[in-house]
Amino acid sequence: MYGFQAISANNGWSMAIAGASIDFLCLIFLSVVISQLHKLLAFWDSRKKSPEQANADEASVKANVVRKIPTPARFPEDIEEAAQLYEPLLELLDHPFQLVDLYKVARENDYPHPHLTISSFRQAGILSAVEEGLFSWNH
Amino acid sequence: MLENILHMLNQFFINTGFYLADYRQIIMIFAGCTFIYLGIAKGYEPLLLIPIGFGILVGNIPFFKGFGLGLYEKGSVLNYLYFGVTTGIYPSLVFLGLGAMTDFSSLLARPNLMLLGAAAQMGVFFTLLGALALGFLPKEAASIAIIGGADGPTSIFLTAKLAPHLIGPIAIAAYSYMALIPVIQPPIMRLLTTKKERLIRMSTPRDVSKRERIIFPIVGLLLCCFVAPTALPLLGMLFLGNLLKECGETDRLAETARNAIIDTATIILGLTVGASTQGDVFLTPKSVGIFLLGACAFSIATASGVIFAKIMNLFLKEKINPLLGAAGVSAVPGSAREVHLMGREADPSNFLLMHAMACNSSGVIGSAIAAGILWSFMT
Repeated sequence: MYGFQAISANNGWSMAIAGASIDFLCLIFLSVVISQLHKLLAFWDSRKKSPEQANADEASVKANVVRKIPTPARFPEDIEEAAQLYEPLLELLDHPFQLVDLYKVARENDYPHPHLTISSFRQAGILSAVEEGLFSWNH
Repeated sequence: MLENILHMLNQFFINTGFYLADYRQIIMIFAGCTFIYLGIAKGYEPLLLIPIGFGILVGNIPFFKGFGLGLYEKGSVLNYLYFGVTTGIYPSLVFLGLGAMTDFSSLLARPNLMLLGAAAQMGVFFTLLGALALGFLPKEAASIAIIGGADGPTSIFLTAKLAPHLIGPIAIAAYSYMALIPVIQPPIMRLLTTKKERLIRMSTPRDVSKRERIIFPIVGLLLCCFVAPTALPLLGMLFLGNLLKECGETDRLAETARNAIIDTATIILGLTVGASTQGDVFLTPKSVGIFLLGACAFSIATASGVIFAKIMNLFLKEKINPLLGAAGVSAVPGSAREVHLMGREADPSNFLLMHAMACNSSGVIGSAIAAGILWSFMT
């Protein structure tokens, strides 16, 4: 049996429609939940706290945070601008350096998406391999 | 005595590959060499194509049946190694390593990109209809359809459960199309988008906290596997690997999962899948059908993602670059890289990689769910 007849005889239409719908709904459900996750966490953190306590906690957190490099308020889309933001981090490293060390300092300083950004630097030629496992910064 | 020696030499000769070879094995050996060439010289997915190509050579060495050498002969070394394929062990281990490598933060920062991962799964369900229309049995059709997810381990896993006799052609088709992403996807993306659309820049995603990254694998596992429990062997391992990576307390385990475990599983999976393509089993009209349907599945999946991104743009205030839809297939990171390159072709300062990775990782989840759904429909 071939063609539409074979599809109908094997419940193909129902399987395709039901399967696609379930797959879609499952991912929609997951995306809705994860889009609210940070709000739920913020709500959880603020529960049962009086405003004075919350302010005191915030102040103490701020006092305890020791940053070597301030995290940029806005991370740029442009790779050249992103490279400029990474330059202070390089002062903390030996030259040439391993990518894992750059990743570590970026992570410690709360730079967003360090893995992907470093990959982009490599593609853009801003990071280039000088010898096995070691890289130099060309910006 | 001379007669005895001649007889022994004759016996030896008729057991050699030169005497036993038939044209199908020669064709497959040529195909194996092509895979190895593409992997080494062209750099097309070398981690996959080289073990598979070598496996094709191993599987097509002619030998006298009954020596206990062949993959399909019980008790042979290859047969024991192949056990991990037929039971779905290797694909699960690959997913464990994949989870330990994947950074879901770009997806967590922009959850609406997950819909592109879902849209790209349309390739799976369209191909299911195509395979049924071509006369494949439902279980075979479901196994062929999952090639549209563009995920080798998922294709192998589902085929091992539903149509083990098709593992060879389906796995080879799935991995071939993954390796051919730079050939298949760009023309479709170019055809379906305008220059203006390809220039769209994505805004900077918000920063994602460590707690979100830790909670995501747990929430993801619970939600996805409550809906499609049959996706558990793949998604369970994917999310476990990701939790090991993100929790910060199991760095050693995460390191092992993303290096030693995934590498070992990939080598043995590639070798045994390659070896399963013995000429007499592989070169059949069904394999031709599978390859044609696989190409359609992959193309439809790419097109569905791009078209869905354009539909989303009709409703979104902040437009998304429709090229990202092509990364909704789960070929990680090949399709994300292709989207990124095409974005840079239109505007060299437009970096789409991290956004494309979000779609790509949701494609992995989407195709594992699709496999689970098809498995449950067929049992």
